[in-house]
Amino acid sequence: MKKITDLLGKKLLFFDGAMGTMLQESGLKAGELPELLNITDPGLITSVHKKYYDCGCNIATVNTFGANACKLKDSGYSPEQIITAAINCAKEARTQSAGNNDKFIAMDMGPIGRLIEPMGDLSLDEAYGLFAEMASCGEKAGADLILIETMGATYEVKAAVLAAKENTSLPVFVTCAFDASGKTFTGADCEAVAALLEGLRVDAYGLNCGLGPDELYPVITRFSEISSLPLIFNPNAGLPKQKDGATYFDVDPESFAKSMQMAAELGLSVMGGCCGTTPEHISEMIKLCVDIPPRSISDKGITMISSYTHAVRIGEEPVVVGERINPTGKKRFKEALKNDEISYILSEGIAQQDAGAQILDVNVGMPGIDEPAMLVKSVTKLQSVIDLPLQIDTSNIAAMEQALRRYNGKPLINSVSGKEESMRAVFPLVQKYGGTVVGLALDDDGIPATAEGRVAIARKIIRTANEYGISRKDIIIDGLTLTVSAEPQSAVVTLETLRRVKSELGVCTTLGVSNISFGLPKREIINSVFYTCALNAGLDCAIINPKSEAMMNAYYSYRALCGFDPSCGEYISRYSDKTESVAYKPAENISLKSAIISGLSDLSSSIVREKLTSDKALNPMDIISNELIPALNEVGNGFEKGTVFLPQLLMSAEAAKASFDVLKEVLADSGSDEKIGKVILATVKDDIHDIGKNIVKVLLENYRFEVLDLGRDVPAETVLENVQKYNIKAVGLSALMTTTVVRMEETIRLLRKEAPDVKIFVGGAVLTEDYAMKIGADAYCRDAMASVRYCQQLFGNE
Amino acid sequence: MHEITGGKWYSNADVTEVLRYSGILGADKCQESIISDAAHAVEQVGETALPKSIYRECNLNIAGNICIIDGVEFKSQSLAGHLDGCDSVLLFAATLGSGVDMLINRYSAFKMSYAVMLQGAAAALTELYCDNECAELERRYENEHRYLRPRFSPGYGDFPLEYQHTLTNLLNAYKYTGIAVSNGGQMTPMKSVSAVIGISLTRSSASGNCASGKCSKCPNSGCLFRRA
Repeated sequence: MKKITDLLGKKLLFFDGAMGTMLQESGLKAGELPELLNITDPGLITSVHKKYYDCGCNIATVNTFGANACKLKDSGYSPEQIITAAINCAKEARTQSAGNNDKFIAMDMGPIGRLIEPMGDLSLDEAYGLFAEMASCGEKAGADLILIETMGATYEVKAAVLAAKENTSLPVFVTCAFDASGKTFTGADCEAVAALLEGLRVDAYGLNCGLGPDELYPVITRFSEISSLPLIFNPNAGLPKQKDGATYFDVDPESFAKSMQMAAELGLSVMGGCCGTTPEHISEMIKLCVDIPPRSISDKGITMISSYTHAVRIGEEPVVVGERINPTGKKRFKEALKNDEISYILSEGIAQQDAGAQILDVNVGMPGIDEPAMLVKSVTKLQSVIDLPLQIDTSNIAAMEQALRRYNGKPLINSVSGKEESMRAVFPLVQKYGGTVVGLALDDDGIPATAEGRVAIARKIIRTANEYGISRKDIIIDGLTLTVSAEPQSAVVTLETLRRVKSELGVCTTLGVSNISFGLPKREIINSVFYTCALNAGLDCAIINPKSEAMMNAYYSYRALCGFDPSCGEYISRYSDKTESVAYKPAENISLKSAIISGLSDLSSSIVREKLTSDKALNPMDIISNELIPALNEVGNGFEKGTVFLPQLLMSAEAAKASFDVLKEVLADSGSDEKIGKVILATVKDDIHDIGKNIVKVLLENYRFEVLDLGRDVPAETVLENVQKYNIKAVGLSALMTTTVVRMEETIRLLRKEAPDVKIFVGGAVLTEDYAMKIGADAYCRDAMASVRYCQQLFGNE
Repeated sequence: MHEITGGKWYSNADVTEVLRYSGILGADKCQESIISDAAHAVEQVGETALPKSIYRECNLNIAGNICIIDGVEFKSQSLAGHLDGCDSVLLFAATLGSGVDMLINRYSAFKMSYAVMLQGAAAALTELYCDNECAELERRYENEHRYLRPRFSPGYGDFPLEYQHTLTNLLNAYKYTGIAVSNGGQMTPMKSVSAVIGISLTRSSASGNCASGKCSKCPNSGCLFRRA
């Protein structure tokens, strides 16, 4: 029997049209599970498949869109029962349909219907498990391929593809739902989706649902420009309209067919229809398109990595990779890693993004920490606040694999080397999870002293990668920067390597630029000049500190000089004087206390710095007790009286924090950076709203409490475990909704039983003093300041 | 299903409303920089949002405190009262999209004061978007001499939050808009709304119309957010 992959790209294949639309016409009501009909009315389902096969379609999409254990939980049926019945219907239709068209059966997997963390509350593992069950049942029942469709969230796509590939041997097709702006509902653009799916090595992908063929024409055109795989196009029959309480779609079969014919000319491989399309639509489409020869599928050779929203192309314009998430040589970063201070890592990431980085390198390797766990945590947390693609930087293969699995998108991977052992370990991971990998020009004999030697290793890396099915577009060669003060010829060799890798091997390049200046004074001077030289020699990805003005000056100047900044617009907007920043410039001679009360973070920290520099004998504790604390008290009192509002209170808190951060370095040295006490904060199980809890955290930290923030959707057992582990005296719990206050009560009950000494303060929009007491809390805190006051009282520090 | 792709739909956002959602009662009492932060937050949320809405007209029968909408029972005295005199309803859901949640998360990680403003802006723009969508529906229905009541969402009066699940299911909202309901019964993206909108053959002056009547009938007359 023919396999669909044998035909893919060789002849135009046709999917069927809508199943739901046909079932609604037969009486299916909104809100009912259409999948149950596979068992209760198999004849109906079979007849729909047969109509599509009869009009010449090649792939019947079985009625299993929502046949996951989550959606079926109250149905009385298991996914296996529903899926087996569904595939039997399609098999029966295939037998009944007399046409000589090739006929395949696609196991259909639609979205689970819940968003995955951090956007929602479903874990990646749960999503994977649900899809794995569906995919296995589909293969067992006799499907020829798996169709993952109508996807809007890239993370869900990744879970589904991994589940399909790891649990079956079937070809995997994926279609996502886009709007007219070319984005999925979670904000992923065409490039992000293409990079992810090509990285995951699906067999074909494209789009379905969303809109009609005309509205989606620009989107499928975009895909045809960037895709190196067979493309699928299954649009709706236009836009949904309502008449007399019924939904209908406004594109008739003839118009649909004409629009699809136009799309087919883009070189598509598989076409069909989604909502509103009928056997008439598909029949008309096949008549017009069946003789269009498919275009051969060619590798577009675009080096592209992605986040969950967008891709970054490498090799066209210079790209900045932020280097700061890396403990090497950074005392404060090491301390943050040791203390599990993920917020420090996040703020480093955000600062680099704001400074102009397009990719962030993430390296958390340090002796004494669980690197796989820390890398996964850093990557997932960074992806909950930053939409830049990440460069996963580790030599720990277990850490690399776990991070690649969890990464939402197609990452840069740093790195593989020319050592056999390294290639054997890293390439299978790139092949499985997708990614563009940095190849270091070194091997078992070390780093060659000459460009010739380094290019030879690069060649070996590219050749070996190819054996693993990794094309040269997904290799970026690092010609290696060695310290110029130790190796006088090092810069020359590196630059020569860059030129030759570009011209002889035609692959992209990267460098850790700052290594050049170790041991030299005023490192920025030499770094920025070397950076400019490297850009000129063909450097694509520079791993640099984007917060360094000198480096970014080189970057923006190079862009302006080399035609990457038309009309020098970027350069001008960056460097011409801005008048608006002067508007709120504070008066000079302002006191630290006033600066904090006014919420001026930059000014507050510079006043503290100035004080410490001008008076070496000044005790930092005096600044805290004479200026910081009185300022915080004044603002806090104002908030309680209603004369200061929440954003102002927080701005003052941030200004105070900026001042504390400056003092912290001095205090850390003297060992007097003491905290009042440790407090746990958590938003209770099932509650995913955490803004209130985050506000409390900021203020408690300001008042010198150490906060262990357990996050949101926290099970009672996790709270208890941490209370016991750290011998905690106070726990703050937050719940926003009436539906989750019960979880708060359960958490309190558990703590009362297992940790009777801990004090519990609670807050949240729906809580009242009475209710808080009723569920057994020690204190109800109506706002963040009330939480501070309660903790001060508890720890005897009013 | 409706989505916005061009133009600044949020250009008539009310900054006072943003400030109020951010916990500032009285724009006159706060410094100019906060007002400009609020305006900036509106711009940022508006730019980030991928607003989408979906609606569907359904039959309505009311029996006591039970509203039967396309055969599905909704038990709520408040809803039944609100729909009194209506012969059908629109089920409605709308969202600003998960990008807005991510934006608020981003600032929560390092600048909570601004995260609070973004939160306020997002709340205000959710309302504005729903109002704009409903105003459009209202115009359309008025051409047929049918009149829309204000949106009535789970959580109002005795209309339980659990019905968010029912409403989004009936609308197939996840497929078309990305709106899901979490295990704990919360809508994701966070800035999402689900509602029932009554349709009657007579204009009801007491309840106001869909977009502008707002919450004038709510019994909680002391509410800070009341818009009579």
